[in-house]
Amino acid sequence: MKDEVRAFIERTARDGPDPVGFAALALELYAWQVKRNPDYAAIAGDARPRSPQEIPAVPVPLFRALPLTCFNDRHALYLFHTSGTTAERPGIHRLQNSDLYDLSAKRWFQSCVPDAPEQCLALIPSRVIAPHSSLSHMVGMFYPKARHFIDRTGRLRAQEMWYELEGARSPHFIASTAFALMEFLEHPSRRDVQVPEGSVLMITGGFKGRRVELSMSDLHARARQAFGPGVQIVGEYGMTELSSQLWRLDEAPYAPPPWMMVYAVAPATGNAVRPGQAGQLRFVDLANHQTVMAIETLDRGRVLQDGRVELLGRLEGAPARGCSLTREDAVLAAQASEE
Amino acid sequence: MTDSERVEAVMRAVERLSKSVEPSGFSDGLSPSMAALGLETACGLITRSQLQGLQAIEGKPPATAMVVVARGVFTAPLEWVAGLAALGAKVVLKAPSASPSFCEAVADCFVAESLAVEVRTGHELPAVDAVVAMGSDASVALIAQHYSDIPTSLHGHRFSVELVTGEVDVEAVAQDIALYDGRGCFTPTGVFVLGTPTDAEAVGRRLADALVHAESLWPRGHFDPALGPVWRERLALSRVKGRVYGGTTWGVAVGPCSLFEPSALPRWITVHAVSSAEAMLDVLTPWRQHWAACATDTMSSLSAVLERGGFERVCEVGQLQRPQFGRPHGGSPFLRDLFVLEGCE
Repeated sequence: MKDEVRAFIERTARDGPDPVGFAALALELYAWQVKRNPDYAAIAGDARPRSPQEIPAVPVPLFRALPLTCFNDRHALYLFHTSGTTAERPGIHRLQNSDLYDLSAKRWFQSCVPDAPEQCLALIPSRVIAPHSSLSHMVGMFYPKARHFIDRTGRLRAQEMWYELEGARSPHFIASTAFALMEFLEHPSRRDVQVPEGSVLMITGGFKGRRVELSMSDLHARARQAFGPGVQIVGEYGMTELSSQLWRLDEAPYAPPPWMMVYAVAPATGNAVRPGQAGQLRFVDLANHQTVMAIETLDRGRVLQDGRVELLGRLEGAPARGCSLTREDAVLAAQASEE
Repeated sequence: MTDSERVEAVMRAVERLSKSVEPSGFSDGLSPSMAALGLETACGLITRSQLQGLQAIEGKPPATAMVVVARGVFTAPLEWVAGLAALGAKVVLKAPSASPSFCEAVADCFVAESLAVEVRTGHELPAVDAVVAMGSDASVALIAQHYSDIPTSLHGHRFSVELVTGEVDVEAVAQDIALYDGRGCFTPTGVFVLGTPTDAEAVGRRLADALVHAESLWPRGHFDPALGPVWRERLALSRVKGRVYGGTTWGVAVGPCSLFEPSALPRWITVHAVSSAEAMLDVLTPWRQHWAACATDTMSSLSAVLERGGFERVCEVGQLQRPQFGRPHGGSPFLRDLFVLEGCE
């Protein structure tokens, strides 16, 4: 099964999408996974999917409670953890090996950022510091010699990075999360530089749960002002529970690779909504060969007719039951505290 | 008005409210039959003798009191308004702006009996002598902070459970689960069966049939879309760790105690086997500060254990959502926290 998935990735990365082949392989992989993954089989129940959209999707919070692997999970060599509050158990995506993950990530990156510079400066911890971060793994795999400017304690070494950028004479790939980038741009050592033509700034993630909210457009504008016109901005959307990523240029919608399908569902029912309509995002990712191929996220988005995705943020948090106030009432209470 | 005239006026206002023609209109999305049952239940709990008994509380009652109402059980503010109005307080009902209609109906009925009740939906927080608030822990804490210098009665997130034998009346359990579509702190979030997993399985199976019946009598109303992902998450995990009955508009998951969640979903219940009441208390210990009530079908032998264990309210199965008017709240006698003792102002 793995060889078939690998071949499909290679072929569609080279020749372009093959929706019919995708559907057939997705259904085949689903049947293969439920035979080897008893937890997935239990979740799926008596489902008999006839299309990728009908493949039972596993809610991502279950990665906190279940191993969800098609192999003995004690043999997992890669344990990618979700970030989040320390109070909560992290979700873990367990992989026996990273070859399909690496292949998927690399091929789609090459397609979406064909002229990626050879050198990388990263506002992301290295794989050594963050062995359980799928983002660090991805950047480290793209750029084994990347220079990382976040240290073991999580401190941003902004001054050093500004110094590097100022002295850069060849194009660089700058990898950052949105939050780290904002911190970097607001750092007292900040200066406006002109990065060499052909440089690429990769921004991933948003400001969910952070102390500030900034629109992506504002962040792009600030980045352009700081780095100059020579920089091309690209966006990456990935999740710990997925093996493939989506990419976009500037603020265009995110494009999934041909071995992944994204669709949106109505949060209340889980039924698919029409293309262009906002909903809760679900992914069918063939590169999740060793775990579960279909997942239901807690992200909101709009999937366009051509399969590309506009991200709209997180789903509104499910309210605590019991005597819970509405969100609006919480705002009222917050105002009370400020008066 | 004299004290007794006010009590009679409150009784007439509640009677007037109970005759509302379309209670589903102010139930915040409950089905018509469930809204009618909820209103009938809430109004039926207010008694003349309990209202009269409030006059005996020591100290000075508030002249003005605000009741901050959360979305959830639409009838929740009624007992507070009735009690405060009977004491002669002017009541400001801070209604949820998305669903103010029940508060408006309450105010109309009380004002018609010359009792001072007004509704506000804005964000301003008026100056009052006392505050009652229901809501999330965080919201209640912020309200407490704002009104730190006046008496308050604050009620954050809490949950309830049932501890039953294999012979329990599952129709009564189903009614506890179904009433108000699982929106209040007296909704059971788990049923613990004294016995073996086989006993729990048998109760779960019977409870599933009872929930089908409950659904036919009182269909589930509006389902908050934000709960859909949580529903699917619990359903999926329960399928892995236990056995699930239903799953669309209601669900019963029978399995290990690790499936228990201390927050309710509308008409979703987990059923677990425990060897004793103490074993159930052990399972619930991590959320002890959030315990509300426990219903049981063996009151005679277990009520003392459960009360000693930390439940403020222990009742018969089927009575969980029908709390007695005037019961203690948060460890204090009803309304006592809102009084100022003479010489302590």
